[in-house]
Amino acid sequence: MINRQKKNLIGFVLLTLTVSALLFTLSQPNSQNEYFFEAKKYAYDKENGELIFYASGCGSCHEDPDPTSSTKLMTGGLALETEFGTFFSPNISPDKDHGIGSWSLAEFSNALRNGISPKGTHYYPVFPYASYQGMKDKDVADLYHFIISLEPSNKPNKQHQLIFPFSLRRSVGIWKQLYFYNDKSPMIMKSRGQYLVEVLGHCAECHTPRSYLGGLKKDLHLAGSKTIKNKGKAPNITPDKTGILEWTEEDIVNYLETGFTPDFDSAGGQMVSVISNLSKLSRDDLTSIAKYLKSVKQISSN
Amino acid sequence: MKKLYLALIVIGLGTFPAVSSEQNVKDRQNAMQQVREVVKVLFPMAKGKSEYDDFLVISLLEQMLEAAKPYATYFPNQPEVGVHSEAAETIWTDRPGFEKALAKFLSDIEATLDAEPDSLEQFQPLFTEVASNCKSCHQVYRMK
Repeated sequence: MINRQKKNLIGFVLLTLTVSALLFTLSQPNSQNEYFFEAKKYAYDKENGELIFYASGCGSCHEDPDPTSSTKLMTGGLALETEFGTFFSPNISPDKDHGIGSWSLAEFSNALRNGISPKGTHYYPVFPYASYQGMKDKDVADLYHFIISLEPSNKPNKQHQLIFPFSLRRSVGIWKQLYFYNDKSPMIMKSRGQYLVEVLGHCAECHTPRSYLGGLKKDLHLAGSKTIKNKGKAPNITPDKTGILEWTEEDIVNYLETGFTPDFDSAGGQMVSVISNLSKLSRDDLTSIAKYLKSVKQISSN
Repeated sequence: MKKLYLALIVIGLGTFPAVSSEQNVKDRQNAMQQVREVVKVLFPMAKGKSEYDDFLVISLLEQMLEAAKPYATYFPNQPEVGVHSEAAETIWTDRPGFEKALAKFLSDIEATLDAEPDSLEQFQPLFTEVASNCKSCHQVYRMK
C-alpha cells in the first residue's frame, strides 16, 4: 500500500517536472539572429522612415497621451485596458535611459519583428509585432533611423498592471507558440495594399476578434471586434453588407484622409489617431489600402 | 383604487429616468443628424467639388449652430443606465472637458459666421477648423 502511494507520488513529481520543463522550454524567448543588419549597410532614406512611422501608427500608442501637451514626443504612457489587465505603452523616444536611444538596429528589429527586448525578455503582444514580423528589412532600418532622429523624452515607463498568470512575462512564450511562431503568413505580401493593411497598418489587431487567450480568430479576419478602450467596437471592414460593401474605393480613401464616412458621420475613439497618421500617406498608398480592403474575404459579422 | 394609483405613480417614477434618457438619446441623435446634413453639403463645397455659395454657407452654419447649442443639455449629470448609446464614459468622468470641447465647436461656427466668408479661399480654413471638432470630440467622448 505504502509502495503504491510512493509510486504515485514519484509519478506526480515526475509529471510536474516534465510539464514544467516543457513549459520552460516552450516559453523561452528565442531571439533570431538579426545581425545581418551589421553586414548590410542601408543608406538611410528619411522620407521612407517617416512614411513607415506614420503607416505603422507608432504615434497612436506611443505619443504623449496628455491632451495639453504640445510637443507630441514619443513618451508612451497610454493606458490600454484589457481583460488581461492594464498595459502602459513605453517611451520609444531616443532617450538613452528611458527610451530606445541606446538600442542598436539589430535590437530594434528583434523587438519590432520578434517581440523580444534587448534584455532578452518577451514583449506582450499588445505591441503588434505579430503584424510587424512581415516588415521589410529596409523599412525597419529607415524606421529605426527616423525614430532615433526624433526629440528625446526622459519620462520614465509605467509598469503594466496585469492579472496572474499573464503578469509573468514568460507566459507570452506560450502565446507565441500558439499564435506567433506558427504564423509566418504576413511574410508573403502580394501587393502594396496588403503590406499596408496586414503588416504596417496592423488593422487586424483591432478589427479581428480574439480568443480568450488573446490570439486572433483567423476565420473572422477583419470582421470587427470590440475595442480595448472605451468599450467601443472596431467595425467589420470586410466587403460584406455588415461591413464596407457599400463603400467605394474613393469613400475609403476619403475616410482615411478626413475621418468622414460616406454618410458624413465622423470617426471616433482610437480610430481618430489612426486617421491622423494615415492621412499623411500618399493618395496612391491610401488607394492601395482601399483596393485591398475591397478584395479581402467577405465575412458577415451578424 | 388608491393603491392602484399609488402603484402607478411608483412605477411611473421608477421608469422616469430611463424614459428621459431615451428621449435624451433621441434628441442628441437628432441634433447630430442635423449637423451631419450640413457637413454633407459644406464639405464638398470646401473641397471645391461644388460651387461656392456664400448665402447657403451662412444659412447652413446658422442651422448647425442652433442644432449644436443645446447639445450638452441632452446629457444628464449622472451616467445613463440601461440605455443604448455611443456616448463614452468620459462624458461623465470628464464633464468640464466635454463642455469645453463643445464650446470650442460652437465658437468655431460663430467665428465662421462672423467672418462672413464670401470666397472659397476665405471659407476653407475656417471650415477646416469647424470640421476638426468632429474628430477631436469623438476621439475622447464617443465609443466608436
